[in-house]
Amino acid sequence: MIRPMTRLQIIGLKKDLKEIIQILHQFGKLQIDDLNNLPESASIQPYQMDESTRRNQEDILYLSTQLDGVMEALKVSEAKAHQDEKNGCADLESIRTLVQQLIPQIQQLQNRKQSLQSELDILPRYAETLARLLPLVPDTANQPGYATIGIMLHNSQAQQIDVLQEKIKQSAAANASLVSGVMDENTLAILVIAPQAEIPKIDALLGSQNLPRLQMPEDVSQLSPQSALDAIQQRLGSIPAEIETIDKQLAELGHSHAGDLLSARRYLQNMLDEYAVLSDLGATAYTFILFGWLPTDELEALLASLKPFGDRLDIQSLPVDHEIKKKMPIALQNQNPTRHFEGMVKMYSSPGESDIDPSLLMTIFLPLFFGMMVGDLGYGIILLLLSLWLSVRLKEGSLQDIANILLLGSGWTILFGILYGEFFGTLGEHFGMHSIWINRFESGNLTSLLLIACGVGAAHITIGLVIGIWRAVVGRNLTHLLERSGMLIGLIGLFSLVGALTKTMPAGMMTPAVATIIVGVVLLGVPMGISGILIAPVEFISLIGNILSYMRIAAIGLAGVYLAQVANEIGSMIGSVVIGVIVASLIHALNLVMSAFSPTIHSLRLQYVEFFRKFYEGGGNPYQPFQTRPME
Amino acid sequence: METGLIALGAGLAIGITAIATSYAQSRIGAAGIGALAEHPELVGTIIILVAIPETMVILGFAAAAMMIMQGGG
Repeated sequence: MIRPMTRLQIIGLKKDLKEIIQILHQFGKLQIDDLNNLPESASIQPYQMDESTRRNQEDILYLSTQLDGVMEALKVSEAKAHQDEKNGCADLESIRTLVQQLIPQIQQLQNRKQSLQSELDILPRYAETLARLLPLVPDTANQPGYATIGIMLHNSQAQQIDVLQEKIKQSAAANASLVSGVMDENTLAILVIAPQAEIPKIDALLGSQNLPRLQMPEDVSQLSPQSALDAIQQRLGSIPAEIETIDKQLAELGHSHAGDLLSARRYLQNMLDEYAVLSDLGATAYTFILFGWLPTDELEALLASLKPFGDRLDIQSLPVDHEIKKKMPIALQNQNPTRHFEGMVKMYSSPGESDIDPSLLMTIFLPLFFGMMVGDLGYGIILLLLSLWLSVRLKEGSLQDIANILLLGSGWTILFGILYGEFFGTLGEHFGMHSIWINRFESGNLTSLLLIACGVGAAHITIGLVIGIWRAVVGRNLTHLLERSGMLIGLIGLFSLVGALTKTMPAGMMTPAVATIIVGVVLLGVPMGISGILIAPVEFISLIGNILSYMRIAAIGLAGVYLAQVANEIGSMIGSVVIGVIVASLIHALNLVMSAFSPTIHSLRLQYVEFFRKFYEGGGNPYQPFQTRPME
Repeated sequence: METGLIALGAGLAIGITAIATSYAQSRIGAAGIGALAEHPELVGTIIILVAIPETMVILGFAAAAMMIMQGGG
């Protein structure tokens, strides 16, 4: 059912605005319209925030950004917080204190982690360089009191090595020695080994020559090449554990503050929503003006909640003209089980202002077609148990809706299973189960099954067209009235023609039936003008195609039937009873999964494509009340 | 001979429509996945669009069934 809506205009004093917005936010039923999209915007100035309000908004936005950063660093998400943790921080000062307290701790841990990760990236390169040079290093380098300086050169500078050695010996250290090795196709590494006391002089000489030195980590720079390599490898081995410890510390920090952080975020988002809505309002020097939509049955409650403002607040119900009606939000309100189908309707399109709510029709036909397709007592019982378990476990949300839809579908599946006499395909026959209505395993019944499916389609589409004609009359839409009446009259003619041809109706009906079809096609073509001469017959043929499309009810059902039969036959062909049962169960399980998925899609498609298009416009504005954010 | 031709005709009726359906579904499915990446809310519409070409193979199945029934099954 679509809830009747009332358009409201609320005028009050600016000094009361903050409090009124908070009350409306808590009330959570009023959809506030953006003044800029309304015809009233021509005569009303938009509300401008004063300087202090704007500054407050910016402060909260900054705090919210900081909080998001903290939550991201601590990997805090709604899923990780337990229900009992969703409390805590619910005022600005405590949120600020919490953020200020957490940021330095997080930064310290993250900086440490970053530094360890850089070490992890860079140390293997040092280790590789040292490992390549180590075989060339003389024993003196490993003696106490000796140190090493590394130099990296391009291969083309290889001839400088001798010159360099000469310079070092002459001007810096007479007993220094040089070793070199090729690092890769472009790079040559040189190690200068000298007594530690001589190292600063050599370093200064290399600096004056602009030679790029191999910078070793500080803690190993004074060690011999072998000791440095050992130290680096030891360090590389210990870093992952240190990183893991930091991650654990971050996770513990996140876990211990998850409840506080989540409630803080919700609090800030709600505050920001209250600031954001101000830009939708209008204002004069001392007053604000607000336009919105409210479900009519909530009006009394709204007036009661705003009563403390007395005469300082003016609330008016506004008349709704044709233009404004197009902007009216559509709120659906249904009882169980129809409310579970609202999501399916919205998935296609929200009802428009001239539509009916098709959720009830979906509640009837979607599970019915599903049951007609699957139609197996055994599968129905399993689906029933599964959907019952899911609907109990899932308290709300789209998955719970799907579980409830499946629950209804499984009921119809059980009923049609009894009518078809199917229990895990042909297994029921072994226990004396027989079809009450039609046996889908008999190939002679194929034509009957297809005709029944077409009959169901014809009835379904006729219902759609009748609703469509009713809506066209109510909405005074002549084009839709002619089109839908033309289709219905044409269909009546077609049914009569089929009846006359199959001799279920008198042969004399032939001529009136053809005449009725022609009248229907003409009516269908009238709104299209001259192009209707070509398009109307095509539309009528497409309507027949719509009815034939319902043959999928029989076809998809048969696919499942044959797979179930295959499961039983393969199971019985295997010598061992245990293995036979296992194999048959696996194939039945596959069939069950396919039976839960494919018939749902096809049943849904029959609603959307064949049925809805006969009466449903869609494209409505969904109802989005100004309400506080729930825990996600 | 006649039974063989009926079986061949029925096989062609369902085989060709199945190929046509799968071709159409592959194109719609590929475009649909691309659209889903940018607009996840279109999932319902895309499922329906993918299911639309299946009418072809279902009509093919009906035609094949008719041929077999008319041919004496």
